[in-house]
Amino acid sequence: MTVAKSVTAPKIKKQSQAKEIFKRFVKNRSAVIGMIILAILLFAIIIGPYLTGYSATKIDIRSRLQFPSAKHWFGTDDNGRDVLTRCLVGGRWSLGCGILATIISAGGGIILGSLTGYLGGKFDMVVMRFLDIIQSIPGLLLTIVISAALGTGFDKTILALALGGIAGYTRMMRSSIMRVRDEEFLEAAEAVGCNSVQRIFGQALPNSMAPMIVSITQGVADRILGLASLSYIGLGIQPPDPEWGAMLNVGKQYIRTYPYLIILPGIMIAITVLSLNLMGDGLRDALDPKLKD
Amino acid sequence: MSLLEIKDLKKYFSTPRGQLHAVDDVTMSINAGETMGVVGESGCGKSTLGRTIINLQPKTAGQVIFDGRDITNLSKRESKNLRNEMQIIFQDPYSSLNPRYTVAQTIQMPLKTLKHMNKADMEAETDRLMDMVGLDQRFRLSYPHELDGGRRQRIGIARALAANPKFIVCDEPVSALDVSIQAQILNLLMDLQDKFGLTYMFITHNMAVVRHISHNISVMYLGQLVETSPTDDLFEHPLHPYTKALLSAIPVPDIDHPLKRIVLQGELTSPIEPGVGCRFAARCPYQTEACNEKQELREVLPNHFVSCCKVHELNNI
Amino acid sequence: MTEQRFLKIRDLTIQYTSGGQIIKAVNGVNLDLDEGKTLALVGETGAGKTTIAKSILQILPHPQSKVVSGSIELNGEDMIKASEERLRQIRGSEIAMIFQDPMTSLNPVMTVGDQIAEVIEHHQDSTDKSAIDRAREMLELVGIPGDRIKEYPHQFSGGMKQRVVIAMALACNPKLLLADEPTSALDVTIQAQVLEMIAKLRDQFNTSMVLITHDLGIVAEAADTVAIIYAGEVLEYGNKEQIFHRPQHPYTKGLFGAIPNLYVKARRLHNIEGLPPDPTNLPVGCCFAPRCPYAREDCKTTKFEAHEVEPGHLCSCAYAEHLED
Repeated sequence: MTVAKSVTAPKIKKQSQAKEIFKRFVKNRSAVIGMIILAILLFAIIIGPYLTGYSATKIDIRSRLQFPSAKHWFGTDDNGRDVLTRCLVGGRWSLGCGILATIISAGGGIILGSLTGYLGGKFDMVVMRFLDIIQSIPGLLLTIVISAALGTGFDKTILALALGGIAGYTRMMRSSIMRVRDEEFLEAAEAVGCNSVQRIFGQALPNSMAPMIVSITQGVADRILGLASLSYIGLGIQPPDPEWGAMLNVGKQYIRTYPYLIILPGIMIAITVLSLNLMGDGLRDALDPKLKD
Repeated sequence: MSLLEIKDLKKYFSTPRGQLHAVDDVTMSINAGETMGVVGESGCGKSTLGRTIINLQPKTAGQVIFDGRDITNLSKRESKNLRNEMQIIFQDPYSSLNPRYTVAQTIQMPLKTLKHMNKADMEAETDRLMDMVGLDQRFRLSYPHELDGGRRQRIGIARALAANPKFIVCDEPVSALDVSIQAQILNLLMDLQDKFGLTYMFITHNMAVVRHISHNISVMYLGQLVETSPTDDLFEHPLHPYTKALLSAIPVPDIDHPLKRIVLQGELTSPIEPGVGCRFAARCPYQTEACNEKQELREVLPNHFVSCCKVHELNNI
Repeated sequence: MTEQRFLKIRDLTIQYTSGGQIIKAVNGVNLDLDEGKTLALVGETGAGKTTIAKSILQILPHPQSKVVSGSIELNGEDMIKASEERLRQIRGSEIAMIFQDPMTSLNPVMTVGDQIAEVIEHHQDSTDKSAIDRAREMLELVGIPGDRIKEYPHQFSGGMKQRVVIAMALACNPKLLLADEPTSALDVTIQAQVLEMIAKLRDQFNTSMVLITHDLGIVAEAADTVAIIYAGEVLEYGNKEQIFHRPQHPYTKGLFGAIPNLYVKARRLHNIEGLPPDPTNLPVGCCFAPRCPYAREDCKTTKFEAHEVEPGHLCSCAYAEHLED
């Protein structure tokens, strides 16, 4: 046993673990397809708007409601703006809002769920009854109410989208923590001196994340749809900033005469949701060492 | 010299139907470098006893003296320090290992939390511990589910040894293993004891295993100690009616000496709010009025303690 | 061994497929059992004991498992060739099985009485009333008061649940009882009660039994003939006296050495070094050779047929008689 060996050993371990997870992920074909689609999408909404040569917000009344052409691949809207550019810029808002809002609600849910699930008792009781009350209000209605109360704007919209989701994530996390709570390895961790925080977040949590991961990727999709609904009824992202839901809202007036207005934003939403779901499934399988083959 | 002394240890759990007396007034002492076997059937409180002693579960009442020090009421910090001296090996080599930790990560957990080692030292120590328990270095990065039960149990042993303890509670460490693997693990535990002077509390329901590894044996029934004595004494002259029935019930791989089995009637009585009397009385063939009184653990023969009011009468002593 | 036996298994070979790999669970097993006798299958986890028992009942999981070759004759009728309809008649009425875990083999939302009665109604044209009466009778037979017939499994202790399972298995007077580790989930004093009861009922009804266990103590007590199973093969087969007094195969000897003895105190146990072979990649020669302290060169390359070391005592080790050299 040489010193050199003991120094290099940890590096090997880290690499091989990450590598293994990556290998398992890559084996899952649909997950890889999801990842590729999402990567293309992200690339497009970040770089795309600079390449189209149009502004997403500048009104050009002379070229309003033009059918798709070589100049405007997906036509123009009722204010003469290029639909493609607006879709790409709108993606920044939609995905940004969706991801941030999901991070907030999943983060809240994971913390609350882990604590309630692991500690149990009165704390669990009080938190869960409070969440029962929140969950008794229909999800979208709750989001609308919060959004209406807070007002419009990027940050407030994210908050409105996030708050409603915390209850669901808490419940899911709690039940999956409760499933591992009585496993002996948690007791073993206590026996070797891990405190409760280490036990909950270092031991129990990683073993209960599988259902959460799928639900989180799905959550981003749900939030994008939620944001679309908010914008559709005039809350959420405000004009002239583009957003997929708001674009659908505008497009619906012209659904008979200029149907191309809703096709592109609709497709964008569908593709994003699909790729996120595919990726989530693959990620869950890859993170579980037991599902190696 | 005794390393561990337990006096009137009690552990009750609250249940909707009343107090469950998991461990009730248990008194015993374990000598340094020796093994105390604790035997009894499922639900007799033997695992709870082990966990309560090493402070994995809070006690209801009683006193624990370890290495001359009263460890009954400890602060959080002291209790964590105690983990350097008292460790536990669990029964189930499947659920007692975190499925997401590699072998090395599991063994390093105590090195990190208890010994505060740096990375390089930890790696060197992991090598040493894996050699010590007979785990090949190539399993360093394996996950528990990739290994068989015997190797998994070796990981559990290495994890306990990492803290460098004096006293280890072995909670049914071989019950989940096949016979040939079981022998490997038992031999390993005994080798480690010889090498490091470890003191074990060996909890099991397997009488043959406990005979093999223990210096002294305590028999538990529904939370109480019914008999405790040096191993050979207990097997040669069991005095308590329950111990006798227990020993006679074990199927022996010997076809020439068919055993005269004492088959007990009835089922275990409930440990929830039991009466003061002998808890075995309901199944005991010799039950009388006097059994409804509280039974004291008394030294009947030298070093041989029994809690039965009729022990003299039944054994002609 | 050409005469008609009650149960005659010849050259049974069973494979599972899992994840593209072929698991050789049972490899050319020959077994015999006479009426009213008990055959013990002894071996470690994964040796193929349960697979053999399930193949007798033809309840191996489909489609992962496949009987590659061999025959299982019960009173001259080959179970492997029997039609599904015939098998349904046989299961429960002629052959019954007791599973290891009494906690999971009972339906938690049905009363124990209904569960026993269901088996009876399924095989005998009996009315509800008579089936329930018979169920009550069976419960009393296994030592449970008949008035508990309307209770649910969770109201019983582990030992009583296993007795209910046994009552279910015996309800139709099967000729053959397959008992897969019937007592390993139970405590010793309760195990003693259950073993005693099984023995009594077996004598009463003259039932034959295949007893699967890893506990040589139980074998000593309950079996007439013993088969030592390892890696899906019968390494040694003989009557109880032959196996316990004159074990021939190194593995059998190793097994006896590995058990801590209740009456002889030895500081070190003989352990069998190593692990059972990977069933997807079995050794070419003797399956025990990699762990065998007496293995010779040709053990690793040649598979020897079991031979008779004394009348009725078969051993697959070619050098069994010369181990000491």
